[in-house]
Amino acid sequence: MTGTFLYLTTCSLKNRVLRRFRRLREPRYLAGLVAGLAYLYWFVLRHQIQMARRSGGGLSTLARFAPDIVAGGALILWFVALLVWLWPFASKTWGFSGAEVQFLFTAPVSRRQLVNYKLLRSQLGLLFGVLIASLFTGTARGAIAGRWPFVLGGWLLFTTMFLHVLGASLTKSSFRAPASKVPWLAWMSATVVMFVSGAVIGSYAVRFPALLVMPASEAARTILDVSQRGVAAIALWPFRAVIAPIFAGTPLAFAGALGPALAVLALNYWWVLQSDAQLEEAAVATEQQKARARHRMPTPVVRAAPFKLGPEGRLETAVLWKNTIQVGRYVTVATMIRVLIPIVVLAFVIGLKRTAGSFAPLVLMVALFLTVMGPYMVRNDLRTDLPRLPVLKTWPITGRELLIGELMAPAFVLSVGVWFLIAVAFALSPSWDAGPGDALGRALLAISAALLAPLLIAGQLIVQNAAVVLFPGWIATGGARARGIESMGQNMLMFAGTLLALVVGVLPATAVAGGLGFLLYNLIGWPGVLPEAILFAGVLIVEAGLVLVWLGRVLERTDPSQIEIAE
Amino acid sequence: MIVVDGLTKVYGSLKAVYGLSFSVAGGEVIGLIGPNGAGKTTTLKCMVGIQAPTSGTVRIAGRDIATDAVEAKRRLAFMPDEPQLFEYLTVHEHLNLIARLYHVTDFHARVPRLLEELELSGKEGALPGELSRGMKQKLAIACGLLHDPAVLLFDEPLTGLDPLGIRRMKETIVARARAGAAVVVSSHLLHLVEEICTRILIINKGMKVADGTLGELAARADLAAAGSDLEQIFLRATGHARGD
Repeated sequence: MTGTFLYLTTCSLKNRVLRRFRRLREPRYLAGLVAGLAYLYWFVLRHQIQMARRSGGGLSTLARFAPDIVAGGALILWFVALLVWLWPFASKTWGFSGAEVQFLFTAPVSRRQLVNYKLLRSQLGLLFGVLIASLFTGTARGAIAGRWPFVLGGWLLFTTMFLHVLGASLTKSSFRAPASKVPWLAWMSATVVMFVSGAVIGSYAVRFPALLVMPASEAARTILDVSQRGVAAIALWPFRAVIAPIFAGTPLAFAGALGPALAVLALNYWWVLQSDAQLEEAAVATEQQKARARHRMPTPVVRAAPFKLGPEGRLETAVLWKNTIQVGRYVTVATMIRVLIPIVVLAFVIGLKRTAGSFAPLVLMVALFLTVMGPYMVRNDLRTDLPRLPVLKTWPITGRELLIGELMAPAFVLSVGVWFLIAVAFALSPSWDAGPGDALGRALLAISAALLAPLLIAGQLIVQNAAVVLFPGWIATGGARARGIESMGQNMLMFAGTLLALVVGVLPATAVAGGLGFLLYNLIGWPGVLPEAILFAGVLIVEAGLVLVWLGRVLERTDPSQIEIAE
Repeated sequence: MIVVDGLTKVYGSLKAVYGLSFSVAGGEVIGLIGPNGAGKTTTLKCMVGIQAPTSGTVRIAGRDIATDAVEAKRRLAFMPDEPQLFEYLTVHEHLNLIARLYHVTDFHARVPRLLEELELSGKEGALPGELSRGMKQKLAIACGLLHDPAVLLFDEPLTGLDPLGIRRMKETIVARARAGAAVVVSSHLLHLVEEICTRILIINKGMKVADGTLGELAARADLAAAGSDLEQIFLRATGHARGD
């Protein structure tokens, strides 16, 4: 059966690669590839090659910090694992495509073989993710030649994480059964998780009051020391074991760290195989979720439309109306948790030490987070609608109108959120000792921020939507997204590409408005910020308008058969 | 009302449609038939602007679908075999959206009539996920009919409908043609084509192989042996008749 799975995996890979190569016949995909490679070389590889030359390719750049990095990494990994256990919704790790469910689940294939197949399928994605991560973190290690422990160790770590997420998902599924039918292993797994987490949380809880009043560096030292002593050290051992190979300074140290890491991997593998009671159920449920996601989203809930849509008026408003309804109908507890977790973590981390009597900087940080990350999280635009392009193309609407309508909903939702946060920050600002001292200066600064935030949000949305319009064969569209550990590389490239395009996009505005701003600030102080912001916004609006006209024409020419709906 | 002239669509080395020309006048119902892969769906997609033709032109009510797309699309409706709906919009909201896109100012008056005609009354607040396959099909058709288009294109319109729905659908198509619309129906159901179409267009391997009323096709010398049975005519025209 292994041969069959290997055949299926290699055929899928070969066909996927061939399809991507065939796309390169189109000039825009070829140009996209060249631009991507140039970006990787210029911003990542070039620096690393220079670093490698300077350091002579040494292996032990980080060796002396390795124990602390491993200890800190283990703590983070434990926290991630805890989130996986506490996450109340099914993981998509154990996801099969419709074809896999149809062919493999009806074939004489054992559960162990299915697990092996899933593991085999995930390896290429995991390895790609690790390679990309190694490129982006390579400068920290100082040498290309010294990256192999990172790649091999990272691969091992991600495979272990993959198995752990899968095992946790299956264990949680088994608790849906009546208590008497929950398997012993599920009870045992939950008990182990509780003991491990209890040991770690308990070790820090007793020192928490002291940590709060320590200077930041001393607090960080104490946090690392606590993780390597007493019960916390025992509880965190498996996490340290799987991270250790990545930061092994020498081949000998790597070989020494490999044994415990493989043992943890083997334990997770055994655990998954033994947790097979819910295997098919979980897989089929995930397939159904994925099928829904491929086409649309989870099940919507009928809520009132945000405004009344009359039969006459601009067509962009019709698309805005449709997409705003979409937001309201898909906001669920899961969505709220997904959005709130990073915000709460950010607020906690910053609020712990830096608020210094005022929450204004904390609120501004959250506003900044929403401005930068929001356009990646709120996707009710062409990224969701593109699979329906055959329908959209029958509408009597130009590409530009459609594109503007699509962008308006996420831009509006995010802007309202950011405006609210800016208003809160302004209200709290009198107790903040940074920035302009007078109320007028603070108000002008707040107005400038409120003016620019929607444009920066819209700029990122334009870049994200431009990516799906220009490269519909490369970007996952519809409700489906590239998820999971194995898609990390793709997500990192997309994020970096978007930021780069945004930076290039704001350069003209910065060049035009920057000089005036500098002059006005020196002449009249903070009030000079507002005219600068207005000029900056004006240039951005002109740029955005030009881009949208061009993209609209591209969209009108886009052939729906080129669009790839992610499995 | 519809003029297709030298329509060609090429995918790489595959000629899906090649030099196809035909026209449909108002009041006509033309049946577009052909074997699997003959190019029927590609033809329809090029006619409604989903795909751009490699060469040739399509004019809808005098407007070129390539150069005057918005005005041409305002006058047509396309009902695909697989209804593509927005999972998060209710039945009424779908129609509201279409009303805005096509500027249907009297949609409040039209919607109840249309829902009644398509047996969707009482389902105004339902999401597509709560509708059966047939009802989804009817909703897609309601969206197509709301703006009273001059040109209607149906791709397998009976898929998923129950016997009553099938009868109603045939009546709807014929009624729209009688009201002056030009209708194209692509289907493998030859009895449907025979029953409601005033003319039949058979394509094979992307090219037109026969075009005319059933009587005209039966009278053609090379198809005469088939008699007046559309199935026999179809098999003979596409080279699948026994002995071919």
